[in-house]
Amino acid sequence: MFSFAFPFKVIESDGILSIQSTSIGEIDSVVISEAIQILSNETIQNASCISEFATLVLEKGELRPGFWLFIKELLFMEDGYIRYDIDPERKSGHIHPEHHLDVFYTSKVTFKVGLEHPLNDEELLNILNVSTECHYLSPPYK
Amino acid sequence: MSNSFFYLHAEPKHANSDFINQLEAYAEKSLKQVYVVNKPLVHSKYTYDYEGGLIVLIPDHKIMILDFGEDDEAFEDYHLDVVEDLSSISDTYEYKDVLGRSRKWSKEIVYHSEQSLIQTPQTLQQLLQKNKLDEPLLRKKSELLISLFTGSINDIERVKEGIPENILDKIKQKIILFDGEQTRFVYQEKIKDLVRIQGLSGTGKTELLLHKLKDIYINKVDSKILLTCHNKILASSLSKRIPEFFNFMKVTQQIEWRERLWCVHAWGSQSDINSGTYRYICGKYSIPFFSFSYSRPFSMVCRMAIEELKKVDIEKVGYAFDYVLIDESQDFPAEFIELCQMVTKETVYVAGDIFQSIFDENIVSEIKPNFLLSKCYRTDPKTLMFAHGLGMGLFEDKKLRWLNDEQWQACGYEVDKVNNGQVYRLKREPLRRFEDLKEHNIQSMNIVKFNNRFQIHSRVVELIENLRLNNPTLEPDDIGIVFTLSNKVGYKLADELEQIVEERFGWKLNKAYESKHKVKGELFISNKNNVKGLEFPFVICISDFISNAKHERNALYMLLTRSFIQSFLLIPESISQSEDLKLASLESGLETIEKNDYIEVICPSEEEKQLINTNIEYDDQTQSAYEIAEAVFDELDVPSLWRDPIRGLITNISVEDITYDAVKKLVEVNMETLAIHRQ
Repeated sequence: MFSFAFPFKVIESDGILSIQSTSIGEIDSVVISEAIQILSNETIQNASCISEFATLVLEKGELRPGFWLFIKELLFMEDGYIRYDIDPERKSGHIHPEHHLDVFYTSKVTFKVGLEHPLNDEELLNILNVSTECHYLSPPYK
Repeated sequence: MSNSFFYLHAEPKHANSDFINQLEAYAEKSLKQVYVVNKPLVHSKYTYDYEGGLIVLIPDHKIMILDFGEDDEAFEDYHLDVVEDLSSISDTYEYKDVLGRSRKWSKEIVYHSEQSLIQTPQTLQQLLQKNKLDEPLLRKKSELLISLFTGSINDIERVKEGIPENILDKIKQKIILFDGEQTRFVYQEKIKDLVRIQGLSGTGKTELLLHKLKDIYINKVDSKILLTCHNKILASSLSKRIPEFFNFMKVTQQIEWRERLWCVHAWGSQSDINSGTYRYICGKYSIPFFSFSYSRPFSMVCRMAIEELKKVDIEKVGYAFDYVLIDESQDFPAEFIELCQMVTKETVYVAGDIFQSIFDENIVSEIKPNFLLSKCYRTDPKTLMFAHGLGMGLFEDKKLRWLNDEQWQACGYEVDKVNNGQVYRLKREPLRRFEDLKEHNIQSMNIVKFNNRFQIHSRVVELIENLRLNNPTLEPDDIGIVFTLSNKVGYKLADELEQIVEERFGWKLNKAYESKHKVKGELFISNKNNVKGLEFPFVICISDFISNAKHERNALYMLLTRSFIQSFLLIPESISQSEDLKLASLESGLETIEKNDYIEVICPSEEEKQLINTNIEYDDQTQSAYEIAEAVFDELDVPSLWRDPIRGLITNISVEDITYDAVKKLVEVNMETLAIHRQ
């Protein structure tokens, strides 16, 4: 089970879901593809200069007002990734407890918070919910 | 047209000229490829003293090394030398695994005359009979040897050993041989300062330019060569292809980028002198450079550069290049070609499509090409015929395009008139590459109908399912799905298909409008804009109706001709009476092509022809402005609220300047302005 921030508004109307962004309005397949074109473009990823990227964003932006704001929204978004991991195979005492939360994606910043007991869905939601009672971290067992 | 079957690379002499004429006649009559050479052409280093020898190469026949001279001993040396050199070439291109040792193949598939040929009227026939090969593997080996002679090198990894059973592998592994016209282009020594080569798309122009480039690069030591085309993406993919191609052709010289060889797009940017052709020329001769802008067309900046260059003593400063090769010349203004000519010492080679669109007014440009490639090797002639018929509206009562006899011929058609010239039968010569389709009973062009939009997915899945069933070695990247739907509808469809094909076949979907290229092992899907130069064994083309808009028809033509085994046109039925009529006429047109191998069409009357032509002219000018604008709006997804105000602006463009691109630029610029107004 994992959780991350979803930066857009989801609107349901007549059983059809649409996704809205404040910067660009409805996010449909076309907007997504246009963003992917730029964000996963190899030349841009390997380029040492911003100009390629900027040119493409400007070009798209000419046709789609708000496009740069949308890209910026994606780049600056804080994703808040948390994963609830049940890992009986690799468990190893308090170094890698069977039940733990992994916070952040990448190896440099990620850390684990061990859990004494398994969590159900509701309990996990509770950890993230700012309006319910807060959880405490306590130092590792000696 | 017929000259594509015959190629001669030897001096005709008194002793052999009759025989050569007979061979040429045979090639034309039998529609078989015939090459007459006196040495392997692949490299200029192969030369022989004996002048009486002649080598006749015909697929499905042994290599025939014939003596027309007087000196038996010298001929024997010549014969052995040729075999030895061929063996070494076969080694170079790694053909040996498939061909085996020359000791063996020289007995199996090489014939040489014992003495000077005594010619009677039956000589040729007897020779052909005696040397005909029936065994598939020997035929394959003979084709491979022919390809070594003519330098039409095939990737031995692709060709593989043995003879495949199924049609997909048969066509994939088919040995490709240059035809006469193609070989002439590659090996002809300088004939002029400017050499034009024109052909339909799929006639192999880019490939030929690469062969020419290689030929110049290795044979003209120290020459400076530029290969250029209009846009950046194409230029970067070309510059990736050059080293691969040189590797493949076993060129041992290093590529000296930016010393001897440039491969860049046309314009370029201020910051880097090597970023474009025009940029490099400006830098080399220290003349002013103008960067890209919508208000400064390329023709104008080239014209300015030409004027500036007139003040420069080019001989004294030195030529920028010795050879320039221009690809996709139909994208360029004449000024660019003129500019290139000014700074090129030897030859400018210009390769381009016969037309950018089947609706171009000047199908054969006023300047006659030196080489005209009329055979399209990419797609089965039947698919091409149907695509032309659909594109030009030939199957319908009201035709959208009509060509004169000369233009039909330039497009590779044989024109047969029946019924006092009222009925035209337009026929294309069959191609070796597709000869197996008939044998396997495969219909190359297919119309598949659906009832409503929600059926598209299941139709596509059905088609893939069938293709998998019929082609056990099918890979996901053997299929290309293309659509002429609006991006909004098409991209959504692609997102939905992505889920379905993953679930159903475990296939990944490559959306080419995101990735911009083909991905190995993934099913391909794209709108009409990202398929340039691509080909697939199978193409599934999805359309929501047969529009009469000319660029839409042209797009359908272009998309359907991307397949080299089968194309499927997915099209809705019963959306309206007129659409159903159109569909019925397409089906009957296709039936005629399937049955008779030709397009049958009633020749429009003089008035109709005039109407069609005026329509095309008029369309390009005024009436179609609405149509063009609507298409541009759809492509750019312009909200309907904005369309009328922008339409008002379009009326300000002078009529002769209204083209799709011009309108698109105008709309793009104004969308931005309008957006600012609205906020």
